[in-house]
Amino acid sequence: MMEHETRHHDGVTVVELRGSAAVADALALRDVLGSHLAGGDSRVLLDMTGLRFIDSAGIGVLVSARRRAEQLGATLALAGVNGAVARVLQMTRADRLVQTFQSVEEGVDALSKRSSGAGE
Amino acid sequence: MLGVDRDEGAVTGVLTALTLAEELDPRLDAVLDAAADASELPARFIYLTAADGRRLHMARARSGPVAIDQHSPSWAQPGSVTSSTTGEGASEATAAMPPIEMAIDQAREQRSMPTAAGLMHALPLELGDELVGLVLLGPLKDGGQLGGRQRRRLSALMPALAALARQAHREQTLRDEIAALTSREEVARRLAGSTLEVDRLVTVLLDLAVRSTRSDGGFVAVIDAQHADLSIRARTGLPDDFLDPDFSAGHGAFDWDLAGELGTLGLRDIEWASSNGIDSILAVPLIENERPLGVFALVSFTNTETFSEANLALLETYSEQIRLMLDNSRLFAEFRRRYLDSLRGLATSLDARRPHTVRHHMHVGEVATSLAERLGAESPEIESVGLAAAIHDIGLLAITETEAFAADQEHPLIGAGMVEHLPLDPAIGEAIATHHEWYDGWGFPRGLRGAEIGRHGRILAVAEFVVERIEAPAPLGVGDAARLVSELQLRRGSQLDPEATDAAVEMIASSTLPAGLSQHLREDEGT
Repeated sequence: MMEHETRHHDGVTVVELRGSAAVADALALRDVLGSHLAGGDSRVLLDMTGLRFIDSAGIGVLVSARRRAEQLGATLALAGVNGAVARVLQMTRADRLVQTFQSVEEGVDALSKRSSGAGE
Repeated sequence: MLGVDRDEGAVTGVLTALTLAEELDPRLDAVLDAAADASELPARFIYLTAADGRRLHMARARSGPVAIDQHSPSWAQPGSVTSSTTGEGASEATAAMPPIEMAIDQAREQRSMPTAAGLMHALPLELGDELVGLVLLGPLKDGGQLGGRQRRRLSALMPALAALARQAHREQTLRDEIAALTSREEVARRLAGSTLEVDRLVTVLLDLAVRSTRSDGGFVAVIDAQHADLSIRARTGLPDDFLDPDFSAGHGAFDWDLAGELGTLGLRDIEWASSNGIDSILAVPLIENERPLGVFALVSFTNTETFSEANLALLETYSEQIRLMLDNSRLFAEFRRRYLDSLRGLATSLDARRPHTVRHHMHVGEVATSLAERLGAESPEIESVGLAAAIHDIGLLAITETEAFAADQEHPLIGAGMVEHLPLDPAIGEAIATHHEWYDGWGFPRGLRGAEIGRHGRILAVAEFVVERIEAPAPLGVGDAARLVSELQLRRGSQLDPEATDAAVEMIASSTLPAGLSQHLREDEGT
């Protein structure tokens, strides 16, 4: 079961995910990310620190959200990836597609600078 | 003298038994018989020294109404025998065995053993300082002492018994080693042959992956090299009503850009997973040197948390093994394709040596394929016949012009040898090897007859006969269809297989010979 909570830091939308992101949670995750991107959030950082597990359904949502963000000129990145989640990202090669940061702080810092510097 | 005669008779009996018996047990029985004869006591157990030289193990236990207490198998210290009970009347059902193994140092020191059947005398079989084995005799009578006469006879006989027991043991050990080597060679040979049975082995790995990760099922989908699309090649644990995923690019169940550099794989069609009752699915791309090979997926129908980090490590291991297997298979298939292309090219160049044999292999292939179809062969057999026909004379390349006779005699086997190392249908090599055999046994190189010649070879023989008779220059060339049919019928059942001959006659009668050949016949008909 996945839970999520959204915060905003320095113009970056931080979506904290907790629990697991498997088949039963994938549609909810898609809705959450879709609503942020469609709502104009141009810098979305997913805080994966509290996520225990993600399967291919969750990965699929990240892949499509990453593509959607690119189409909209937005940025989607991950932070706090660890344990089984890190391993799944590596095995499915999602780590090559989606930018990841060690921590939320690092991610917020990088995305906020990129935003202001690039004028995105 | 009586004792000496008895000893000599015992040794002679042992020698005879050892000479005649190939197996170990009869030889050990002969040793036991000789010891029993000399001691006048039953002898039912013999131990032999194990290969490590530190233990003795029981090599032979003969049946008999002797019960030995398996709960007190320890060796008695000299003079420490305290009690024993006889086993008189003990049934076979209650008979127990002495210890199966014992330490050699312990065995070397002991001369008796208390058992439920009574005190047993232990006769060490020694050759110099070497303890070869040990025989248990008994139960001893009247106070547990072996008589002096029996001791002397056993002592005199012991070296011979020891030598013979050791010889028998060594021969058996050698036989066991040979059997083990043969077994290993057989296993290695089968494995070598089976490495190409990719689907079966991938299924085995998939099954192991499912079991070790405690998931419920899974599948391996492989990319078809020619069509660049995915299809399931192995599956396990999926219910009968499981709906296979749509692997179409762009809108299929999986989001995987096969042409892309990143190779990221995710599940796009969440509804597909939900409708199949999947709680979680882990699909891993199988990629070798940036070349996508397939998808390895495990599913859980009952537990979202199936894939712990430890299970993911296992999954990664199996994924690696499946990837290697698929890639090796792909490489080998590529090698096989190129090798066969080379052989076809060589066959074509061989045909080009003479004007009347240009396109010979191609025409034989066409006729052979058509005959196989007419004879009701299934698709794989038809393909095998066609391939054999397309390269059937390549053995001629290995023989010089000056070896005309040898060329005729040997080229079928040489040609077969050029493909036998490939994992092809064995009938292909066999067809090449037998295409000059005659149905009545008068062909070459092996003089096979009838069903001894495989069907592929019999079809190929008829096909080559037809093509040669049409394309050969006069006077061997038949010129017209009627004469060709006549020639075929003349050889039906002698040189040529009757059924394949009938099929060829039908083909000619129905004017369905390959275009190049039928045209040749018509042109000759008019001359």
